[in-house]
Amino acid sequence: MTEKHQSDSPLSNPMDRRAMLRRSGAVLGLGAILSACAKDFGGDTSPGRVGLADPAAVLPDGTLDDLAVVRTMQSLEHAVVAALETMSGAGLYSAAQATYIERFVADHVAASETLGAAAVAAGGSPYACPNEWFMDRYVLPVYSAVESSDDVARDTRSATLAFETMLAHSYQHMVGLLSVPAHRKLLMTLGSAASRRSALLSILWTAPSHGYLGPALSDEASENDAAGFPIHYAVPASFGLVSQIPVVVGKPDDEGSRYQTSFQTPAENTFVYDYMSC
Amino acid sequence: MDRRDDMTTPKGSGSVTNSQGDAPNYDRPTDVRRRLLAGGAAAAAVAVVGGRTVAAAPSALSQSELDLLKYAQRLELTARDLYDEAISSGLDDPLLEAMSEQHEAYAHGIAGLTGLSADSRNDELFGRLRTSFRGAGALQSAYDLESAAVATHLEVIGILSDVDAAELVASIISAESRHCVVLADVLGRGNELGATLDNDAAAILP
Repeated sequence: MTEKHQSDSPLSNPMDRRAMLRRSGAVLGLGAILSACAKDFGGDTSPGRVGLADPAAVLPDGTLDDLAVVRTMQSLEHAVVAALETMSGAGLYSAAQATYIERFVADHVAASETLGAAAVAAGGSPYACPNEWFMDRYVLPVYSAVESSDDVARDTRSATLAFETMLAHSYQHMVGLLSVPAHRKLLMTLGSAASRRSALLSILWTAPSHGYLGPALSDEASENDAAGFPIHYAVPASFGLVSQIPVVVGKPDDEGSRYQTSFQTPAENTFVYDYMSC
Repeated sequence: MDRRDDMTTPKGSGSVTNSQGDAPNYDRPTDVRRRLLAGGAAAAAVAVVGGRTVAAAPSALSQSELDLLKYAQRLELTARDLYDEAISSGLDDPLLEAMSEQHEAYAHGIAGLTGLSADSRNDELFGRLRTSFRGAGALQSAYDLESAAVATHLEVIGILSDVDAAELVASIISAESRHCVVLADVLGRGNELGATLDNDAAAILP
């Protein structure tokens, strides 16, 4: 009895080799069909997100062309105006200094108008606003350190000289990014004026104690003074520079360190691309 | 504290603090030639300095650009020789020596870029200015020449299409602009915003 039941059940029959191959082929075939059809099943295949924050904004691709360079320099002129006017408004300049700071501001405003006109001529629009990146990274923190310094007059001079020198370096640096010779001439006309302002401040504030010529030209010149502050020379090197401008301002902290930064010529994160407006 | 601000009284919107309170401190020894030889950007330019001429690798610049740069190069060698005239006539000063060296470096820089030997000056210009550089007005003549050189290079950079050449000329413009301000101060005109900040000079064109 028992033997008969076992022999009648298909599940109890021992699988022969032929049956196993037949069944395995059917399973594989069904799997292949399901895999081929899986893309039609719908549903979200993205990895998913944690939390309810808005999706990150996707920035447009900016094109670095002559227009972007011109607008970037216009934004830097406005940033320097903001810096000078902020320090002037806070009464950080002496009456004597104010005479040439006013002239500098007028020069920067005129330069901005020239650059704005060049932007329009190049088929774009002016950018008559301070460069946000430069303001956030340099102007605002430097001003905060200067106004709370243990020697406000010294640090006002250092910051002003560094801002003007940054413009001189930036104009020269930008020449290599421009393609139209007329734009190069325009920027270096303004760059020449920036170099003159930088040299004038060095002559007024540095030359009496440190001379005109920088370490690249004089054995006796040094990079920093006895207190560790960088010295900006009227003629720092034989050729015009595009290097970083070291800035040390502010009162010493508990460890004796002051706020330090380095102004740099514009890079990708500083450029004012055509899609940006203010 | 700004020593000059302390010592002087503002003279209105057209003047800055008097720069004559202290004698300019430029009478310090320099070894400019050695510095130039060790310098970064100038290194390529003066890599083969030893004599007074430099030749370098040929360039892909157009003939019109080469002609333009040759003109600029000769202007720089003329400036060097005029400074040397002033020095040899008794105005021996490290600052003028440095400026002479720098103008030579600019000529060598052009040579390094173009392959044009730095072997000739603008004789007509040299002859026209030589006397003024040997007299009492040498510093004023130097100021005028630097201002004119800046104006000239601005014309040059407005024509050049080659970006490397434009970058070199831009660096020369920056440096010579600074020369103008220093010379204005040495002349006792450091308190004149017009002399220090403005450049009304005409370009020296062929």
